[in-house]
Amino acid sequence: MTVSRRAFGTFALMTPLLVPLAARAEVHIDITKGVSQPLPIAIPPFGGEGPNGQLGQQLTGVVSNDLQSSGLFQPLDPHSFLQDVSGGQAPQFGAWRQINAQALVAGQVQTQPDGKARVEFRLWDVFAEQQLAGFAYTTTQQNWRRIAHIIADEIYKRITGEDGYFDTRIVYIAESGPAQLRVKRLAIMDYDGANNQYLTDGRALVLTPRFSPSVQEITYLSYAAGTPRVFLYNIDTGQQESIGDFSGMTFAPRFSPDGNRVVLSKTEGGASNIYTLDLRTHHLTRLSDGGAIDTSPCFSPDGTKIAFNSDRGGSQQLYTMSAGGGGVQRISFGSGKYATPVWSPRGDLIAFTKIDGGTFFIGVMHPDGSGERLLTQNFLVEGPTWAPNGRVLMYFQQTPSDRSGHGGSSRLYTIDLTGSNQREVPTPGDASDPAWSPLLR
Amino acid sequence: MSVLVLDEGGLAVESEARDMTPGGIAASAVMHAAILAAIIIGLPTLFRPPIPEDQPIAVELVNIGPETRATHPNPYTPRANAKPDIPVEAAPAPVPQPKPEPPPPTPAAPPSAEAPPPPAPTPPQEKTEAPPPPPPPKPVEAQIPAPPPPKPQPKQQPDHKQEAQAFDQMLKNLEKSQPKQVAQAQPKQQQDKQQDAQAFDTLLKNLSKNAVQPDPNAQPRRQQVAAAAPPSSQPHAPLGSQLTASEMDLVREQISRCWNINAGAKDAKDLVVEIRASVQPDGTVTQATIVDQGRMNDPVWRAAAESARRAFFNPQCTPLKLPPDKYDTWKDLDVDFSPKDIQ
Repeated sequence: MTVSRRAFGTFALMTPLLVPLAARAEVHIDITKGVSQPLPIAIPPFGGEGPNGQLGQQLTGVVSNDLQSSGLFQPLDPHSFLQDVSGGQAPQFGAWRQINAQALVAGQVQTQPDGKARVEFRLWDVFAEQQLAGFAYTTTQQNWRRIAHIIADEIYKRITGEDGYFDTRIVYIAESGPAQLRVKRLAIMDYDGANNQYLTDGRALVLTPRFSPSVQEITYLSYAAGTPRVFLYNIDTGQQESIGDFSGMTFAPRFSPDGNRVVLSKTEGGASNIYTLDLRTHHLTRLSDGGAIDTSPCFSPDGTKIAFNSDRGGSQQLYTMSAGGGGVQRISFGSGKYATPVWSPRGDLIAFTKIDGGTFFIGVMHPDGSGERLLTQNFLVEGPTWAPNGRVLMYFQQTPSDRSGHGGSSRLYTIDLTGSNQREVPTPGDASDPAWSPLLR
Repeated sequence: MSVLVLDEGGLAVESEARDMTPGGIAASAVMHAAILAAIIIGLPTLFRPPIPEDQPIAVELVNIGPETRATHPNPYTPRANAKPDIPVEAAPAPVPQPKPEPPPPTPAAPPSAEAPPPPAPTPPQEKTEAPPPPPPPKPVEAQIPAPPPPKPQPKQQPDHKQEAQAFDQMLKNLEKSQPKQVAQAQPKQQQDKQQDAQAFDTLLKNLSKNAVQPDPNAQPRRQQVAAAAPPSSQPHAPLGSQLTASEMDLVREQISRCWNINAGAKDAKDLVVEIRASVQPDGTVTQATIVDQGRMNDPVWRAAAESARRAFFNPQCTPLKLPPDKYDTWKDLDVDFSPKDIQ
């Protein structure tokens, strides 16, 4: 009794103290699930007088296509827009909310006295009613596609927090002709298939092109000298050169992250091992040893490790080792064969090709081999290459040949890490072995 | 002596009487003494009203609970122009809008004119003279600052000073004619007793009709929630209960459908964001604040935080499905967005 009274009295005394605490009390809700839907974004044509207006429409068309192709944005139908912001008017956010736009891009194109185009744009958060980004670009009129890609990158970056990948290029092998006399040429284009150019004439077979980090050079395999050799191609000058006259075949080259070395495979006496080649000294360093076939080497983005595939365990599997050789660890343990490991630019995943039960797969796994996910499968899918932001993969897909034995068509595709956004990249003809450049900036 | 003891012992008399040995008498005496003592000490307690000793403890526990809603002050109470507990036909105060619409675009000041970087003599323009593709030249880039924010519309809510004055006035009126609770009318109008009386009469009429007048400015969906729980003009919100598990699940499910996760982002599962939302009685969120402002320098986290904040303004989440009678509990929400269950 006494104790109870005391407790009650204590409580009574404490009550005034507890009231402020109660006043601050709030409901806590934990949200652990969400949806993954493209963000509704309004991109009205950029305003401008005369030809600038036409240029503005072209610009916004490319920006809209870029964002839509990422799968993260849903450009809204311009016919639904309730406000004209082409003249630089301040947005009436209520009008944009009404059509369910969550972001708004408004811009204008002007011609400067020197004939250059000045393109400015602003990205608005419709709900928060504030500007998220605003930039102006001045360049030649002919460069409008690149401005559009840069604007799309800025929007992508501001909304997702990660760099975009629209202002990039693709180098690939353009294929033509019958299967027996296949002509393979080195080609380069914008990431969306525009501005396609052929870099080689097709007289020599070329394979596995890869960009250097500087985007000014490409390394690839060529049969120009009769035997497979690794070559360098300078995009600015068009100059090609073999990067070393070694005994045996050299193939599967890739640049190191700093661009100073190339890691490649070299075959001698039935064995294939991994080497690095210093591009300044042309010094070749052997990293793997033994009679197995070690190939498809790829540096980690920090340059400390190399992923490769090897049949040293009996079947073709993925391995990693230190950049100086040694410390080999097997990372793939699933059924089937694994090949062409490609380390993500952001370092968190390794993409690969898997062949299991007669079907090809493109998948990703963590560098320690955990979390394997297969993103796509087909009769033949191969050669994954990462977008510079590490969220999208490009690869080539070949359809089966017909009854007459002619090879099926080969096309380039992109797929995002969720595996839900797969798109074909337009090319003039058949295409294979794509390689994605870093951002051009 | 022993007989007396036996007499007083009641039921034990007969059995003890048959065995009158000295030892038995002693034992009987001890036993009867014990029974007598128990009666003397224990009987009073039998007639005392039972005291619920556990009750204070139970109350204390409820108050300590983090989600209690017991008698915490109502921040809306001082608003002199607040709507009365039952909407009055002529709603005196402007209904708080989720966000004031910016004024129509001013004819002057297009963004280009507001953009400080004058386009003409920028030194880095030489960079645009890059050689033709491949690759195409990189255009000159200039950042455009945000234009000055649009001027808010004339006050829709009175400032604190006005509120305080109005509240004082209301208290005076309360003293004179209790239980008058109607606040003053428009902030700009002078409040007088007559007006208060009219408002109170209107309130009483509505009470008698037991009719809830819809707010003409509110959206139809909101009215259903808002009607039962407009801003209270009482100094303290009444006691109420916490949200039940099913009520929490309902709003959790609703917000989940509005939260667009950044699928594919690196370490997406680590992007945990806490948003503090201020909710109107009609369930609309007037303010959603990102709590951890220190991480806004991280662009990926900032994007995740802004995405979480957008969830509260998604049309599917406006208004939030919360029980109107427990408004005092959920007028402030702390919502943690954690994509840990996302594959």
